Amino acid sequence: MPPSSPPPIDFSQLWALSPEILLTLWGLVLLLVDVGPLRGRPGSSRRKTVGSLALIGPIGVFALLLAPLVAGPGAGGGDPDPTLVYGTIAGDPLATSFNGVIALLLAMVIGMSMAWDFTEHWGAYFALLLWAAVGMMVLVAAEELLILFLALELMTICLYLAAAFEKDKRRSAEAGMKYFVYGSVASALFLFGLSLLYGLTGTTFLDGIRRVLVESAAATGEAGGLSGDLVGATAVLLILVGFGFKLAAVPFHQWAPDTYEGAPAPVSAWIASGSKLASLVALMKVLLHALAPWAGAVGGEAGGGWVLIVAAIAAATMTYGNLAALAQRNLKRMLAYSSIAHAGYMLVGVLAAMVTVRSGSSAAEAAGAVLFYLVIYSLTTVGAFAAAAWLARGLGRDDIDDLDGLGVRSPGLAVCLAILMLSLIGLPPTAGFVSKLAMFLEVLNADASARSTLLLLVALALVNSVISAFYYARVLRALFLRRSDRSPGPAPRGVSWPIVLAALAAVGFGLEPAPLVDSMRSAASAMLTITLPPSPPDLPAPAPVAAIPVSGGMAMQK
Amino acid sequence: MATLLVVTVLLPLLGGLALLLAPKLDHKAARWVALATTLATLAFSLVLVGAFQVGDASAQFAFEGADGHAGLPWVAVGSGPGIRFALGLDGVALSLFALTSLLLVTSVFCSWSSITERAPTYYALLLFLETGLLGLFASLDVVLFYIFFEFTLIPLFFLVGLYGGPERRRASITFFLYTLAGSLLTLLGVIALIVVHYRFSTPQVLTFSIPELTEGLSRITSADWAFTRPLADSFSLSQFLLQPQVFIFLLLFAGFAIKVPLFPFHTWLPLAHVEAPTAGSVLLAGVLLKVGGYGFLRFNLAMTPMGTAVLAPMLVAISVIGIIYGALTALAQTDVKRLVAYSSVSHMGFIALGLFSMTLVSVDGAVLQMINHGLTTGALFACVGVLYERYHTREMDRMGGIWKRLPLFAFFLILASMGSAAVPGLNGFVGEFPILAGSFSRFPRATVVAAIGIILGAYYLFLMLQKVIFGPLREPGGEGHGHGHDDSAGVPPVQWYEIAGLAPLLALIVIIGLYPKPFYDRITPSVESIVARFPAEGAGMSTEPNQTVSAPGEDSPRALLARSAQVTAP
Repeated sequence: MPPSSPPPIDFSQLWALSPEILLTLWGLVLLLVDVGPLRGRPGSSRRKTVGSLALIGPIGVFALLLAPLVAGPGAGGGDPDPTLVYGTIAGDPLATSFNGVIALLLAMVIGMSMAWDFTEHWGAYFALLLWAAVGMMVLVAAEELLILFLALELMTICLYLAAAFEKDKRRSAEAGMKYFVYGSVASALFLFGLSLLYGLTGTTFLDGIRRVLVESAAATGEAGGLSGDLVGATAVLLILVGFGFKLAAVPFHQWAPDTYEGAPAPVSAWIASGSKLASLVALMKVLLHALAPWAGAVGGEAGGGWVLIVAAIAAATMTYGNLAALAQRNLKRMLAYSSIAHAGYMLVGVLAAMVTVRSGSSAAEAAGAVLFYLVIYSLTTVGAFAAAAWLARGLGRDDIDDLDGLGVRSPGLAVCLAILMLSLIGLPPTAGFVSKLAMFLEVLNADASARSTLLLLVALALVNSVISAFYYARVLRALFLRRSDRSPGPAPRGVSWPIVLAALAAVGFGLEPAPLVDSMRSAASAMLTITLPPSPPDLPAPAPVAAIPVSGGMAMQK
Repeated sequence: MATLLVVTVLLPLLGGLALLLAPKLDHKAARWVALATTLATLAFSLVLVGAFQVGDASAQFAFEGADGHAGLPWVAVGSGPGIRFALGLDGVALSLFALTSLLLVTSVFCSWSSITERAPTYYALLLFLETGLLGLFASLDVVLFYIFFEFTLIPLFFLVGLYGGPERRRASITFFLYTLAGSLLTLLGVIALIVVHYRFSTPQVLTFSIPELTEGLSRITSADWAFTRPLADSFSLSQFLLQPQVFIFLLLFAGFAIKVPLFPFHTWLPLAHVEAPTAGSVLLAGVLLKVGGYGFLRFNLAMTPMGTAVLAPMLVAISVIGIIYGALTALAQTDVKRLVAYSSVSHMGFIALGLFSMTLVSVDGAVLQMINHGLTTGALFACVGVLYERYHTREMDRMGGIWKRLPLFAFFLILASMGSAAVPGLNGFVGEFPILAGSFSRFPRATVVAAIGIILGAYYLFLMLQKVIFGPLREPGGEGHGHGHDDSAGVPPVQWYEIAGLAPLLALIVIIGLYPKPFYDRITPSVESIVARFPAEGAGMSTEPNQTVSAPGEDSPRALLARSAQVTAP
């Protein structure tokens, strides 16, 4: 970076970061409350008090997000440049809407956490949940590689710790340890990939990287793609390792089943929903925006690119996830494999968004379909994990068989859980079906050369949906078709409202998907069109000049 | 009328939700609510039948949106009309629509006394199923069709799984997964159809409307789509299978063939039919199987006619195998319900034969036969339910001479069996005869074999009648239950609700048998519009691409069909 004198930070921009700031501070407050006023109180009473206090965090985020609507237009928006803090963080509709989604998921996770006593350190636990949410929010908004990496680490480190929080269970410690070891290796590789990318392009801004790549492609006259570009390919592969770990995509998924099974149910839910959601958005930003010139062609001999790699990962991920889920008896472990499988479906959507031939205002619809899928998946998965929390509270274990007979004992919640399972299968009239259909229909708009490959992937995804029906149906069978004399008892409020809310969302957005689809489309279009301001001299702008000698060096290596 | 159609489709859903929200209702109140809802739905659908314009082949009662497309916009996809909530009925759909609303009344009566536990949920599930089925037949949008198509699975899963017989868990899971597996392939086929239409149509329109897709696909002149080579002319099997029309046909076929079910895909059927509660069996056999036939007609035949034409010999062979296999298996059963279930495999084979022979006469007959089979098999399953409620067994070897105990019931069972066995003067005959007559012009040998199926059908049905109805009175008195054989005086006579459930079906069996014209009048124009897109006879064998699709208007459909349907000795 040239040591120019940057303009002082415009503090009015901090308004756009208020959700993150609020949650950070509120986490500190929770810590202090737990060790201060509540010191010496028994665990369960602190759980209730700190948990209720923690709920104020996401509620405050909602209030902050709704404030501009109440205050009328112009209070927060109106700025033509949606980036903040020297263009490193976006304050676009994507960030705003996903802040809302993350806050909602956080509230559900906090609710589940209040169901039973699995730890003594409630202040630290809830603070970690909140700070993980901060990481996710920044990750979704990141427009620069370093911010992206820092946000990713903030999120994951909080989750490493939270996964190991059930200290009297060895599985929980194992979960945290495995997550940590795999995660730190993946992070190191990811960082290495980012450094290569910086070396190649001379900038860490996503839009700057895109510009440099477009320019160098134009200079060499080659079509997009990575063929012959060894360093570029290495960078892409390493970046995919990092994201693959976060998404639990095959072959970087090995940590997921053990971690999901061992960690307390709310933490597993948080890893499966929030962490996956934020990482996939970041992945889409990096791949679809910054590295789009390296996408390469799907068909034909001309230039391979990351599209082919992602296609292979997607196919392997969904197939392996579904087949492995078939053999599971534990609810959380089954959901872990199911979340692996869903990551595969979403990668198919990412591919479709890359090769789409849509242009103009509808260009982002394919990416919007993926975001829609992502939101629906996250909500339903958190709801399903709430069932695991319920079992863990009542029975101390969470096998699928422990759900036996709940259809008779708590018919309302059982119906809601059934709706969640149907939505995860992708059966109409639930939102799972609409989101799958919207994503897979994007094949229609795929590039002609990529269409057959994509159709193949979609066919594979549908076959996989059939396979997935087998293990989700096992939950249905346990709920309604079996009887049992052991019961987890009535569900506590913290468990029941996330389940009901998720089921309502699954049915509501299944019958009337238009509002969410539209907002996701506008979020996606904001995500894909974000550009740096046309580099005024006083901005620490990327130095595109630096790229030319580097890519020249590349050419010599070839 | 468009509003009335929507109301008719959604009314059972509302009734079901009302029942779900009042789970404290006892079974007596619940069944009255269910009966009122189904009767109102039936009344509305009869109004629709009355208002239907005979002779018009297009979908009627469709709501015309402000932008010129049918229905209300639902999910916008791209710049086209998008996925729409579009309902409408043509002749074929109308018949099945009315059949559904009638059979639902019967199935409420079938459950009148047998369902006492968790009755509100049960009736709610029945009503949800009704909405699914009505919506499915009325959908004018492929996605809407698919949504209703899949939605029917959910209530049926619970109906079989919660209220069924001893093997209900296995039956419901098998049924659920089997059907789901097929229908997802169908979804892929539907997506492929939309892609093909989008890619080749000029100007490019992304449409999900069934009529628009049917029309647009038939107008595509690109040789890739319109010209399909039969197996004999292909270099290899894979080249044959990878032709767009053949491939998409097979994808669509997967789901519908399992629903029908055609011969190798029928294994879920006996289990599900036998384990389902009576009302479930009535609906499964009466309507759910028709969904497969309806799908064949609406998608496979109408949208991939060339694929159907080149695959027809194999499809006809499968159908005929199904006819004979189903009949022989039915012959070997001792359980009445299993017998009726296998007879469905056989009869649905006739329907498939009629559809895949691709002549106007046979397709017409097949559509009418769908109605007929719904009526006769629905009545047969209802009769079995009557029997089971009294004796708690369905073993034919343990009963006999029921005529003496329940004469009215015996009359019902004999009439329904004769209708099913295609005795002339009853409805089975007017359905199966055109099927055989039409098929004979195309596939004479297969038709001759299929005709044996009718004989076998009469054989197993009359054998069943002989064992159950005639002979000396032999009642399963519950040996070992402490009841003596004289205790059979406790067998109640046929109740009013059983009569109310069966009588309309039996009346229709006779009416259709004696005077099928009003039914054909409504079915034929819609069938004609589909048959008009079929390649002319022999065109599938030709290598001239331009002969494949008859341009609309060039050759009057009626003339074309009259020719291909002539029954001439080969």
